[in-house]
This record gives sequence, C-alpha cells and structure tokens, in this order.
Amino acid sequence: MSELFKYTASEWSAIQLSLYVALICAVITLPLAIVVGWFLARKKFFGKSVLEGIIHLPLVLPPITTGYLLLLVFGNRGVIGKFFYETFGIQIAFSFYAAVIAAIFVSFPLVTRSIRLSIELVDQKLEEAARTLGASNLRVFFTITLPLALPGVISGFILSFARSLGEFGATISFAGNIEGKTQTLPLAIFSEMQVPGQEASTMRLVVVSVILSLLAMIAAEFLNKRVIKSKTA
Amino acid sequence: MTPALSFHIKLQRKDFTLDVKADIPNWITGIFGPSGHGKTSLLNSIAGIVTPDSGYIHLNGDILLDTNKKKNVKIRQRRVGYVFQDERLFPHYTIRKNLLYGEKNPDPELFNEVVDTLQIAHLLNKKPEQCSGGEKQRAAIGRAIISGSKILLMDEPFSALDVNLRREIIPYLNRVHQKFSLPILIVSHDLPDLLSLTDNLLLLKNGQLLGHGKFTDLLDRPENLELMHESGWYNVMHLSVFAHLESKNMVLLKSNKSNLQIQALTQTIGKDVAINQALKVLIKPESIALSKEPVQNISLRNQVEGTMKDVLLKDGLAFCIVDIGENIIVEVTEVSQKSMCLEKGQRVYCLFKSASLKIY
Repeated sequence: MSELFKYTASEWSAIQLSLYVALICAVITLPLAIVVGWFLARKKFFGKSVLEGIIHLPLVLPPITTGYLLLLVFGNRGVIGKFFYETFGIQIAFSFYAAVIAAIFVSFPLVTRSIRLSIELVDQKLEEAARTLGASNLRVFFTITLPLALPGVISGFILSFARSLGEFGATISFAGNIEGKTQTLPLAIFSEMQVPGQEASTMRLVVVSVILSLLAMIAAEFLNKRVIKSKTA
Repeated sequence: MTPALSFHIKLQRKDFTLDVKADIPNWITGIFGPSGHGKTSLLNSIAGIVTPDSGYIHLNGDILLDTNKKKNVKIRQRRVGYVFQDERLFPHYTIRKNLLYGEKNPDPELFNEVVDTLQIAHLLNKKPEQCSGGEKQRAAIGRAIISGSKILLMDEPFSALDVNLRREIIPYLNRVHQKFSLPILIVSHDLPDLLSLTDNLLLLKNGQLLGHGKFTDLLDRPENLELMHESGWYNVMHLSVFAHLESKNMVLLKSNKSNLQIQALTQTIGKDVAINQALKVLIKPESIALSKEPVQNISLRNQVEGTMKDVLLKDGLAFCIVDIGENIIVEVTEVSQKSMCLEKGQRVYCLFKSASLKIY
C-alpha cells in the first residue's frame, strides 16, 4: 500500500513537466482564443465557416493525425521548423516546445468555443450604449465585453489547462516520449503500462492524473460561481 | 431661433423608407407615431448607430453627418446622449461607475448637480439590479448628461415603467431640461405621456414626417387628427400658481400670456408649491363640456370663455378647437355640435371639473 505514495524521480519529473506544459499552454492559448473568439462572435466575413472549420478541426481529427501534421509544419524540414532551425538553431520537433505546441493546437478549439459563446451572450446593446458615451472599440472591449464574458474566459483557461494535462496522441507523435524532456503524465502512464510489473507506478500516476483533472474542474466551477456572484452582488 | 438640431435623414431598409427633415429647437420635442414607423431608426441615425443612405445631421452648428461632403462623425465623437428604453446600465458597475463611464473626471459641480437634480445620491454605491425601474432610468439620464452630451435622445423611456414610475420620471426630465438647458428628443408611441412633457411634437407615420409643431397646430390636417386621436390625447396648458385658496382647498392657476385662469384641487398640486411656479396642466378633450352661455348653480369649478377656432368632424364626433388663451380641443358628439349650432368664430364656455385635471 505504501508503494502508492512513493514517487520516483522520473514520475515527479513527468508530473512537473505536465503542469509546466499545461500552464504555459493555457497562458499562450487564452489571449489568442479571446481575439479569435471575439472575431467569430462579433464579425461577419467571407469564409467565416471555413475558418471555424479549420479552428475546430483538432476536435475531430485523430490526435495522431494532428501530431503528424504538426511534424510536417514544425519539423526541421517543415515550413516553420526549417526557419527556426536554420535561423536560430532551434529544433522544435521532439522538444519541450513541441509538447507545448501540441497542447495549444489541441486545446485551442475548446477554449475558443467557450470564450466565443460567452462573448455572444454579452448584450451588444450594452456595447452600443458604451460607444454613445464616447468609448472607443478597444475600451468597449476591455471595460464591457471582457468583464461580462469573464465566466467563459475563466472556464476557457481552465479547460485549456485540463485538456493539456490529458494530451497524448499529438504529443507522442510530434514531441516524442523523452523522459525529462517531453514525457508528460499521460505519456509516462503509457510507458509504465508497457512494462510488466509496473502496476504500482502506473497507479501512482493515474491517481495524480485523476486528482489534477478533478481539481481543475472544481476550480473552474468555483471561479465561475464567484464571478457570477460578484457580478450580481 | 437657431435650431439646436437640424437633419434630413433618408434610410432605405427592405420595404421601409425613412425620409424625415426637421429643425429641432432647444426644447423638449416629442416624436410620436405608431410602433414600427421609424421613430427609433430616426434616433439611431442621429446617434450614429445607424448610418443613413443620404442626408445631413447638424448639432449646434457642428456637422455630424453630411453624405454630400462624405462626412460621418463616429458614434463616440458625436456627444449625443442616448437614454435607451431598457436603460442599458452596465450591470457589473455601480451606479457611480456608470455615471462616470463617459467622463472619468467630470466637473464636480456638474456631477453633484446631476446627482441632486435626479435624486440618485443614495444609489451611487448600488449595482443597477438593486435599483427600481425609475431609479435606473434616472441613472441612465444622469450618465448621458455627465458624459458631456449636447443633446439627449430618449427612446420610449416610459414603456418599461408602470404608471406611478412614469409620473415619477416626468418631473425629472423637465428639471433636466431647465437646469442643463439640453434639447431633448423623446420618442414614444404614447401620446398622453409625451404631452405630459411637451406639446412640441414631430409626427411620424410610415417613415414620413406628417407634421412638426405645437400639438394644437397639428390638428388642422385630418391624418394628424386621426393619428393622435387613436392613441388618446390631452390638452396641455402652460400655467403658473397664482394663489393658494386655502379655505376652499383650491389653487388658482393663471397664464402669463393671457387672461386664462382656472382652479385646481390643492391635493393634485400639493400645498408646498410656490407662487409663480410654472406647471403643465393636462385635461382630456372628452372631459370638457361646451356651453354657449355661462351656467349658474353648477358644481363645476371651471367655466372658461373662449372662441371657436375650428370644428373638425370624424366618425360621429366633433373636435372643436377653442382659443381660451391657449388652443385646446374639446370633444363633443356631432349631434350636440349640430343641435347647439357650434360654429367657427362663436363665443363658447368650456366647462370642466377641477378633479379632471392632471398637473405636472
């Protein structure tokens, strides 16, 4: 029983790396998703449906396909990967960056969807009223739209964090499964499952995985309720 | 008098065309017409929310829109205060923050004056949802004034309020107009509400201007008469308090421009109303009776002599326009009009009860 609480250095490393990747992913994804979510919620433009389709593609694509496509673009011979490798000597594929990029691509549609929906729920008449009071579009966004869409933004942030924690398919094909470098929690669980007699280690990682995901969901719910309460107080 | 606002707005929307040209003085002007006939589109065009296909809008000499000169000032630069039907206070801000949204550092004197005039000091730290409908409307008016508006546009400000709250808000609007000398353009499909505020009307139907002017002056066209009669109307008299007849529980009201004087119940006006206080006195045309001679031994406290200016017949009714120092409408049946031989130019007496008066 005590084996369930004895975490090895490589297990700690996987847990820390997972949290690190998830946090960086959520921080990068959020502002991008806010901008794209606002455009999709408020603007009508030619090709909007196509753009929506592309953004939501990672939701329905097999994760391994997403990983492969990322490898094509960000690999050392890919359009972007080649540029980074030749200009800065940075190899993106099979690195920590790749784990973060894979998490961003997979969680982006979920976050964008959450933020877009909450922005759509903000009464545009309030934005109109703010403009008649002399507010610029940017001020309207930061003082009216964003605060009123805050529950969706917070949900989006935590959703991005939680989705990154669980990311597997795209990460293993694009970032690899390198211990201490790209081996996140799900990858570590997968690795342990492949080795006979590692049930205790697998269980330790599974427990952490479940607890982290649960905490993220509880935090999302708690923050959401607090925001709603503070708005109506 | 130089108009505060001049506009000619042409706007085409599917099957609907708005084409209105008018010069609005620095008064309270009521825009009246049936629902869906272009009133809100007109306000939205002036505010810049909607861009007309062609035309111009000038406010205090400044060009807000001129399609010939390809000039269209942005909404946020127009300084047009818009009070919406649904107040549109920002729900996540307190009333104080709402008031300061358009102008973070207003003149403290102006801020205090607005707060005092609209009596919203006790609301400053409350959120909008903690306020009543009337309080929210007052806060929305305050917000528009503090933001430095040069004109106040109000879209159906009474429609969301019950009768008591309507009565509550009307005196505030009069005070705002007097204190801040702001022209007010107020849209309503409820004529009695508008007339309790102003008798300067702009009539809209099917997106076209039917008439613009004083209420009684607009009655000479049958289509205006029809439009206004359908929605219920009032006569509006501008009078001042002349004396409190305390032993009779009455107040004597007089016109500053003519010899018109009437008696009203003290309880309708209030005991504390000062001598010379200007008031708007409203009475329904059907609440007035006509006589060709003064009537003795009658309970009615008001018998006002006047001259018949016109008689308009419609659906068995006769609308008599009588000059009693101000033009008023008296509604009688066509049968009565014929049997009394009521005609233009005759001297008549308008009889009405003190209790039938509404006073603001």
